Amino acid sequence: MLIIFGDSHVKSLKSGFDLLPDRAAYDGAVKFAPIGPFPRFLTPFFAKTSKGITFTKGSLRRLYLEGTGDEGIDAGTDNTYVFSAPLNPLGLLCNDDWNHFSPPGILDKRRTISTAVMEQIVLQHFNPLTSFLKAFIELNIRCIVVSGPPARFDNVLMARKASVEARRKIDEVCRATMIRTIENLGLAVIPPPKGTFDEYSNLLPQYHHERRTDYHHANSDFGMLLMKDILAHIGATKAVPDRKVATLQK
Amino acid sequence: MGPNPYQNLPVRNYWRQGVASASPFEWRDLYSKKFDISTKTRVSCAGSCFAQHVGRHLRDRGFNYQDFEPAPSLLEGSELRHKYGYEIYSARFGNIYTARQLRQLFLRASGKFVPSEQVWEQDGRFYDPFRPAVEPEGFASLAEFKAAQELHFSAVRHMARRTDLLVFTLGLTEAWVSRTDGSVYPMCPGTHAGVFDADKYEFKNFSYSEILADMKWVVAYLTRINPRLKLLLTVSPVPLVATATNKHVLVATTYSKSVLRAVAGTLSDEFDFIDYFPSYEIISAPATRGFFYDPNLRTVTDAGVTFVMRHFFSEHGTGESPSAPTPETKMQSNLAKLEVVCEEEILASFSTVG
Repeated sequence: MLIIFGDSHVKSLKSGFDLLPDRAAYDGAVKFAPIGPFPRFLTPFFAKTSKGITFTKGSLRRLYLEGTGDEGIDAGTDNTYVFSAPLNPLGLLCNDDWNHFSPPGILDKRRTISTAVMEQIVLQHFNPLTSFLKAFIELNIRCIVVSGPPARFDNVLMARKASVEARRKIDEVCRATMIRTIENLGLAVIPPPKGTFDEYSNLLPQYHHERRTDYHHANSDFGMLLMKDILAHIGATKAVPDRKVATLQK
Repeated sequence: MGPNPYQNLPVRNYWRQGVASASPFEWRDLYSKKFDISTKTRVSCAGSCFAQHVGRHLRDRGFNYQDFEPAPSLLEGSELRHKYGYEIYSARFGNIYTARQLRQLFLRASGKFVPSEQVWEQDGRFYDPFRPAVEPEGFASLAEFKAAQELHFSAVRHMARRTDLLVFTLGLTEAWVSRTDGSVYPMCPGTHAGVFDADKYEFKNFSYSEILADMKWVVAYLTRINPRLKLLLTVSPVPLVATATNKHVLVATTYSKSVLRAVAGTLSDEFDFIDYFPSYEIISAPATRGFFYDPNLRTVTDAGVTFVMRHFFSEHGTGESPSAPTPETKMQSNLAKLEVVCEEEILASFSTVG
């Protein structure tokens, strides 16, 4: 079984999955649980036991049950878990600090912070999520991290006074630091699909969310492309019902 | 025996009554303020490690403590902030151990002195020779280093203009300087960062007259741009970790502290806007039998710091008596003590003696 869960970006993966031409081949083998929104993962949200991982926040527990039928993540199964959240930079990008500070390399009238300090900020910010990933490793549960869509730097939620260049730099350091951290843990990271963003890492307009006022999520087309990458990564592009589970468990 | 000046003096004037037969916790009148420090007084702190205690206590007591180079709020927790030089002093100076270092800082910040060696590059990282500990892993690029340096200088200039009271703790007489232009370093090159080269760097043990001249330069510089500025001087009671002289470290420490104490006394006697607070005496007096020191006989216990600051606050604002610290304040202080940053301590790791 492939369990795709995490922040609200899981919704576009689910709608994208429904657009896959060979979707029927995966019937019953893929489950989706958007248990976000993302800020719920920024404070301690899980507990690890010898049997698996449970969610300590009621809303996460309920939504996970709704999406998967499971109370929590069971270490005794052969499921593969695809988790979306550890590369979501929005919490950092929306912080008012950026009205007074600039990320490394951005020289404006604000106080520029160093790369080392910025990396520490990122690691601190994502610490509950890093701990969550470590729990998978400690319990020997298969897990892959998937990126959400590239940021839209015209997002009105982002720190008001930070320039587009500053926003881009925050996003860049955030992603690079977390990818390095996750890969150092021994987990794979599936990035946004090639061709979905421009040279400035901006999500291309054709992948903007169907609702115009949603600056944060991508649409189903983006979800479909990313689902293809996820499935390709797992090596299950031609699964048949009998082989499906075994293939997904590789 | 006829009348003489030693008759009928206050108890504090007699060693036996004032010190020897009194519990240190009952000492009185060790310090009489020269001027008031109100909660509106903008206070900045700089100096050697012990100044961190003074700054922290002032901040905790609601004094108007200034931070001209604050940490981003996203960087959470004092341990991490201190690691990167934030919230230790009123700007990211790192420790300013010598008077020459303080003078040099103002000269550099105002563009009047540019050291021949401004940055140390090592393994692709860039270290600030004059505050190597504020970025322990070094800066990622030369541009990043320069941006941080300019930001720091701007903070120093702001501090000079917008401070009503500068608390400065004199720490050391010993330092390492550049043979080329006399630049003085807080740490010996090759310890925290850089590479030691005897052809480039030399040891310097500053004399009383040199330190007095440096401090007078600082006083003149600051009061010219900020005529209302007052100074509160302290001398660090923390002994040297190691000496580079050919003397025993105890002898070198005594020399160093004596010289610094004499400079502070001279300045305090000469200028009505400079006060001296005797934290050094309170901690290191023989009557306290070293019990304000940690087992290493060097760093000051939390109880000692709290005790010292009670003497300070008995004169400034809160009106409390300088009695023994309560268990509660000891505990609070213990937590805070963990965060004191003393770069000089790295020197102990170079001892080859077990």
